[in-house]
Amino acid sequence: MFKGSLVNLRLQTLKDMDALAELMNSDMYFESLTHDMPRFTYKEQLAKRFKDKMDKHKDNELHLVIETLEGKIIGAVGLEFIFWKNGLAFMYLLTGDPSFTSGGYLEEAIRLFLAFAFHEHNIRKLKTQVLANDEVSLKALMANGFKTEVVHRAEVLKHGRYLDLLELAILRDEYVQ
Amino acid sequence: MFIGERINLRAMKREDIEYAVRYQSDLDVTNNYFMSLNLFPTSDMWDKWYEGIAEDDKGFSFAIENKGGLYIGGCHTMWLNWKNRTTYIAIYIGHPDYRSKGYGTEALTLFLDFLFNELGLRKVKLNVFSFNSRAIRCYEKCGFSLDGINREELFRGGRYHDNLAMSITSEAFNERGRCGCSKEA
Repeated sequence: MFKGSLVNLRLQTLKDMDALAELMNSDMYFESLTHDMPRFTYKEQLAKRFKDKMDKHKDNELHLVIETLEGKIIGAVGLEFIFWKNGLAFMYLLTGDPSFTSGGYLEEAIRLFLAFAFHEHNIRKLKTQVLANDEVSLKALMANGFKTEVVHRAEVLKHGRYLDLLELAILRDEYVQ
Repeated sequence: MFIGERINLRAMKREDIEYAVRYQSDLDVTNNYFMSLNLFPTSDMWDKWYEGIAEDDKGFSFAIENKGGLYIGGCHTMWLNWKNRTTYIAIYIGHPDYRSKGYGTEALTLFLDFLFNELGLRKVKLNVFSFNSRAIRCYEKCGFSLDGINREELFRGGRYHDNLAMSITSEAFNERGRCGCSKEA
């Protein structure tokens, strides 16, 4: 477990899938976190997908939950794919509980995750995608040193108009600075 | 089949595999094309890939042939998103005699015409390594513009290289005229 003053990060387990499915059915998720088809997530389906993934014991992914010091799950953070040869990892960030979008919870979760990724997991570059209307994630990522590298203009359809999709990244050298 | 002036786009055939293996054993092709290690392909790997595309009803994959029917390269979609009407693509000319002569530009134009004017996509995207100036020239000639630079993403030849993100919209493509750039080649 990685311990902070507001949140802790720990490995996801099968028991966490109910709470994560709830976050993936939240208004915030449909509004700013998914850029694919807006589909409801069934906890049984999420649990099955998680179990299938864990059974493969792959070393190129990593899945953590973000929880408060009291143990309430408020999000997830992880690596959906690690390209070991290039030192490159694709990070995801799941939020969805509006009570924890301010107050520094997400910022601390990302700070803990970066320390692990760069200092323990030997990742050289972390990148992630964020919708332009997801101000909560953007603010937390930028506060931790992420920079916008690519703007996919008018990429994702929401409420009849196309939003930009941003690719943000941070290199280990930038994190150390 | 989609017919161009000097090349056509057609379905892959099992007989193309022999050529695909030969082309993708050439470092001049693989160094410019793959993020992974340049392990030389085998015909078994390509057989499996061929069976995959034959079953695939989500993506589109074409062989690029010369007017004599010879497989000289290929192009395909990746992560096609029907909701947002976008896709990533990849394209390569493998036969050494057909590189730097405008065949790639002509094939790409035909492929874009299909993606925009038959499938109805809005935007086509690709990534290209910063040192692959031959491909960058081809993409710019076809109307692609730079969306950003993924810094230091590829480890090759002992150092890290940038990966450029480029895209073209259906409006930009159709404003230029469907096959205008093949004449420049």
